[in-house]
Amino acid sequence: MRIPSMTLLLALGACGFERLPDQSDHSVDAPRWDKAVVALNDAVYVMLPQSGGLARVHPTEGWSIVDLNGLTPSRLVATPDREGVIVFGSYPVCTEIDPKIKTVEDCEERDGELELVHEVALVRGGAVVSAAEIAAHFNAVSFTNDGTQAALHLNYDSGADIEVTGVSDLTQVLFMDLDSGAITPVAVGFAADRILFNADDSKAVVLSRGEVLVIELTSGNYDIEVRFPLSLDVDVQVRPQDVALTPDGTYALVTVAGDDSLYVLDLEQESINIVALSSAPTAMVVDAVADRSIFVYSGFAAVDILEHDLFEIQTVPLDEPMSEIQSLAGEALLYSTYGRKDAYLLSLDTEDYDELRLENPPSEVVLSPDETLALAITRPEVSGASGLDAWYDASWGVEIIDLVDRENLPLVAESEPLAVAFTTDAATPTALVLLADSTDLMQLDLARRTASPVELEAPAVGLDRFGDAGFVIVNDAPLGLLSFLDPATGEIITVGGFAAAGILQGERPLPRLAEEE
Amino acid sequence: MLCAMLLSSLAVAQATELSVERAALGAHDPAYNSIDYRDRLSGWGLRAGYAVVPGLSVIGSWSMQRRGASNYAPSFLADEESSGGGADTQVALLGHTAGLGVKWNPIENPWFSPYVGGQGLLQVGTLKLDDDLSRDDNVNQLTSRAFAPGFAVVGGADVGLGLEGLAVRPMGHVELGYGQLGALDYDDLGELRLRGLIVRAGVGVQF
Repeated sequence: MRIPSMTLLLALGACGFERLPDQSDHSVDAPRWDKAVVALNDAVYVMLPQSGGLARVHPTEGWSIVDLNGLTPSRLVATPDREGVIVFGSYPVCTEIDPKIKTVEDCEERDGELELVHEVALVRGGAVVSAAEIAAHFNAVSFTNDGTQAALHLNYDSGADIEVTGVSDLTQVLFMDLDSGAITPVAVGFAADRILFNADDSKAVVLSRGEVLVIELTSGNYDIEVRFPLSLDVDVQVRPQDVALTPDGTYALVTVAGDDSLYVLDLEQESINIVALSSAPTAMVVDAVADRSIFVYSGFAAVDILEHDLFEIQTVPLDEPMSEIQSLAGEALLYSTYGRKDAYLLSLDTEDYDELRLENPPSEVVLSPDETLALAITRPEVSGASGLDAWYDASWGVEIIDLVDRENLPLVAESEPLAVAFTTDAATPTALVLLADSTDLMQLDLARRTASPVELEAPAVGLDRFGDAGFVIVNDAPLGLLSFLDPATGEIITVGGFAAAGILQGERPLPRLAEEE
Repeated sequence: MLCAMLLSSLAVAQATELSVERAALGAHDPAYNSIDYRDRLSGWGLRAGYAVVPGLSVIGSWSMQRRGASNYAPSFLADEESSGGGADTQVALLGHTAGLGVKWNPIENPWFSPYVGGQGLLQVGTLKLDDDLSRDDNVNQLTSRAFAPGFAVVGGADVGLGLEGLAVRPMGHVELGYGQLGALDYDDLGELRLRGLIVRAGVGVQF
């Protein structure tokens, strides 16, 4: 009688996952992981808000936690070469100096106050290359064209609360060398929120509230070469809607919301020329190949082409108003997200265009890396059609737009397409489309123009390209799940469980004690 | 002479005991909250004792724990639809504690015999996590195992029914003390540091 009882006890102790004990509940405040993952060339990086960690996830190496020296990441930005990630974050310190204070709980028990120190770190290959303390309000990054430098600044249009610790200096921009991680602060005026770089990255143009500055980047001193106001009247605040540099970096083009005036700022002569556009522009793009700028208007059926010598406008009438522009190096793809079904491929040299008619109105158009194809996500529309046309009109879809042959192929999607990603491998051009409320993805073979489903372990909530020829798919799973897809073979490797890191959260150690600071 | 001493020791080693016991160890580590909101790791087990000299027994014990909790975390999805508001993860600890030590009963009484004792402990803890209980083949069924040594010092009493004449006598025991285990290290998942009040009570036989 005793032997069966012992066997039963041992069997219970070694049971699988069928009947796990469940005697209580436990809740935590923050999500275990953040679906806004960053896919670099070496791995995918995932923030873990609950444990305060950063996971590095690789299809064959599995996952590991990056040692950030106690920094709790709050924002990740990939460098343009996808070799590194800029990590914004913070760590707590205790105001009370006491060698016995080792944890957050110790600090609170000894009447100390916790302060957050904000830091930015550059991570490459799963390790911190450099880290520097910064003010809390830096929340945006602009990169030079060659990707060797980043400028950290405040974007007060981001909608996020601006965090101020002590007295924050909102006049600074931080230039970060992405090789060494060295940071140089430059005072640029109040609340610089947009930073542009000229074609050879020798100059940075900084727009702050009502002021434009040009900073030289070649000497390493970050000297301000030009500083002049957008308006001569201090009572008039000009808030730019869109800003771009001409290819030679001599002029900055500034559009203003609700205004049909284009401010052309001569950054060398420090003068302003105002050019009258056809209407208040919805979008502006500068094309470096044609050395022209393009403007479209959601309420006016025409496109304006601006040449950069005399800044004269050439207006090209269209059948329908357009609201968006995709630059194609000498050409432009124009489309509208305002319910129009026309799309135009416009040559900027000849000012001729080819008109395409989409099956349904687009909500987004994404270019392939080699810019020979575009994918338009189209949405259902109300129509009086019948039969197949009515079915098309009522469906979400994806249209493959061939930018070389000037033709488009409509495909119907079972639900709303939420995101699109392309491989960069020219041998097997593939796109992946994330569909809402579906465990399947739509894989598009762009060479054969065919679509096929990709079955996943769990519903997808995001995707990105991974490496040259693969994809990473973000799955909805509480303990974290990423699927790595090789579209050529259809092989999917899943890596999960990384959000379990730190699930046994004891007392919170102070990662850097006051005396170490 | 040697044979006489051996026979003498066998004569006093007549009190062998075997009990089923309930054992609980304090668990004030906040990390344990993911497994059980109560601050103790409790379970059922066996205790065996063998009196090597009058009043002094070698005690061996083993207990098994099965504790677990439904864990809730906010969804990383803005619309909260996918997680449905239910528990997102089941966290369970399946533990085994083995102990070996001595107890000393300074007053041997068939009704009530107080004692003090000490034990070295070895804890094996298997942590299991599962974020989709509805599937047997869920990818995120995670298992991690850790070992930790420890010790316990206790004071208690053996309780009998005064039935000295019987070859096999029913008995019970109850004891209190302090126990401490080294860290159960689950690598990136975290660690558990179990220590605090130890409470054990059981019933069995003595022969």
